[in-house]
Amino acid sequence: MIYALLAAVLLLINFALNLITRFVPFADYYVLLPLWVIAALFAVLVLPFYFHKVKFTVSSKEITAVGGLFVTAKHFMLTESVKSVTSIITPLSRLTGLNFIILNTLGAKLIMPFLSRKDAEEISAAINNSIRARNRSQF
Amino acid sequence: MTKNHTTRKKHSWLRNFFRSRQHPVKILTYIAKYLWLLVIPLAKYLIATRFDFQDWVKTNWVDILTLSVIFGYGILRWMFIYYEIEDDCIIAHTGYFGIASTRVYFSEMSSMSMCQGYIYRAIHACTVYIDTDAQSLSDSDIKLDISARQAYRIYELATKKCANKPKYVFNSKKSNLVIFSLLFSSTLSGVLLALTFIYEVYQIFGREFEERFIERVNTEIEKLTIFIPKYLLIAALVIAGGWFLSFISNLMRHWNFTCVRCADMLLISSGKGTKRRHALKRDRINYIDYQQSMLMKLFDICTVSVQCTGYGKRRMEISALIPITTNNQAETSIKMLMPGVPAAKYDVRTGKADIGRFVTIPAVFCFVPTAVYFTAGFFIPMIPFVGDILPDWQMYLKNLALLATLPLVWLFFVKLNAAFFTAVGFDKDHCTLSYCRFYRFHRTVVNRDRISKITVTQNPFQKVSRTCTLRIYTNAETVSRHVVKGLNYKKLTKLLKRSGYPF
Repeated sequence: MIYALLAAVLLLINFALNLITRFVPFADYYVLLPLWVIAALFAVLVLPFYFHKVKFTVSSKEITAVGGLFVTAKHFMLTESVKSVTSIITPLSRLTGLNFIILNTLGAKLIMPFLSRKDAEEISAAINNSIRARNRSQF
Repeated sequence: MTKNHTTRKKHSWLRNFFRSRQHPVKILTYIAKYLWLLVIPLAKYLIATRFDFQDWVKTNWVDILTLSVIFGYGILRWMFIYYEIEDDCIIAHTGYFGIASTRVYFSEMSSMSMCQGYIYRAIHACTVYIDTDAQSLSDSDIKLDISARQAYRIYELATKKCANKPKYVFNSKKSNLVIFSLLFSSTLSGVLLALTFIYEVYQIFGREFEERFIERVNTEIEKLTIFIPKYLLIAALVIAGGWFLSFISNLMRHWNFTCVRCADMLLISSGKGTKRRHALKRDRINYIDYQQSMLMKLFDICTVSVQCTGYGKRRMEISALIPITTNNQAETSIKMLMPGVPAAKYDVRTGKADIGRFVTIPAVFCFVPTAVYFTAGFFIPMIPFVGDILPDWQMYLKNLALLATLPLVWLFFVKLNAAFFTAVGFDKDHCTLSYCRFYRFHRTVVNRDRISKITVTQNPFQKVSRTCTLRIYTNAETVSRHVVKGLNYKKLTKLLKRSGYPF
């Protein structure tokens, strides 16, 4: 679906450039061509590698995230240090995969981007349950 | 009911009413922003009419009415905001009509601060801040401007545990405080202080006064420009004046610095003009940070600060625990004030082999001003009006390039030193990090319970050299991270695994 979105954005740019080319004849050569090249690289190299590398683990004790294309990063967070969970679920997210989870702790955040809707809901529920259980045990 | 009884009841109600309200001076702070805009012209007019009240009221009735409304608004806000003190907690009713009620138990409090400036001391008022580890990130949980007597009552209740307990006192020497203020003063903070003052004056007296002040300054500068170029003089005045202001404000803030450990608390008091008192819960301290600049490192001296919710977060405050002392004395004092904090012990550290990685970027930056000087020297003659406005532009450019190079060369030496200083160590309860951020060396001891996130990153260059960057995020009101660069990746991941972090 992300590819479809990318294609749609490029088609829109193409359409906008067609309008401009009446006044700036070289616009498509200097603007559209590099844009298509960047989009192609993004679609063929960046996206597949990004999704291949990214990995999240959530358990009742700890949360780990591994990812990054050029700069690889490994994040570790204790589940008990999470204070709140922010879920961003966009319209049509089942198709687009534009679902994000942000784990808020005191002094840090951990962002889990581009999750499937099912995963996002599952992770959000698991961590919220863990926070609830922690609060119950305190009272 | 007798008349006497009724009068006594009324008095007691009145006393309770005032006791649970903020200090009446707060009414002025609620309305001060708008009040002066009307009061000054009205007073001017009254004087001009030689106190002819009838004429004054007739002419200015709209302004007087507006002023009364503003004043009434201030009184209403003051009336609706009140607080209650109980043995184990404080309840503050804030917001419009006092609808928001915040109850903070003293046992849950992370820090409490009392601040009393010149004016507040004269009228026996005091500002009290109470913070907890809850998620109130930018502001204090409770902030009240109350009578000094009530403030001390809250302070006594909050530090009740300290009564009849042994006390361990740390006092800072006056000479050390002067050095501390010298080192922590910066032109920028001084200039900000001056700008705040000018802005406040402008708010009260208006544009006319500000223009007159600037005109006077200009006239004085013109007199001096016979000997020194005007631009250089203004720059020198701004830098020296800003720095001096910052120095004085730092010195006055930390004068008579005393830190006392008793029970589970640290009681800190300081200040010459504005007196400050802080009570910190020791188990709520997120980390201790030993800080050194390159010069301090050479003279074996350091300052120690603590990160605890609410302490040092107000404007221009430094969260000092030991303002300045020798390294050995700092260690001894920390043992006394914070028993249980381990001595530095490192598992992974950088060394001679890592020098290249630490100094390459600063070394490249050292040549940037020279490159800019030559590039600008090539292009500026092509711009016709520059020569007319600044005939000595070449000299200015050369001086600027030289001035910009000096701190970069200094940075090169700082990073060279950092190559031997960077390290990380974990023990059962604590994590010790030693790193350099810009020009400052930090040795941070973090309680492992207070770590909120750990990140290990590797860029392509680090992959080749098999090194990595460790970022440790600690509990704090804002994002607080400690970045340790250039550590061996294999050794670090092994250490993290051994310490219970699955990397």
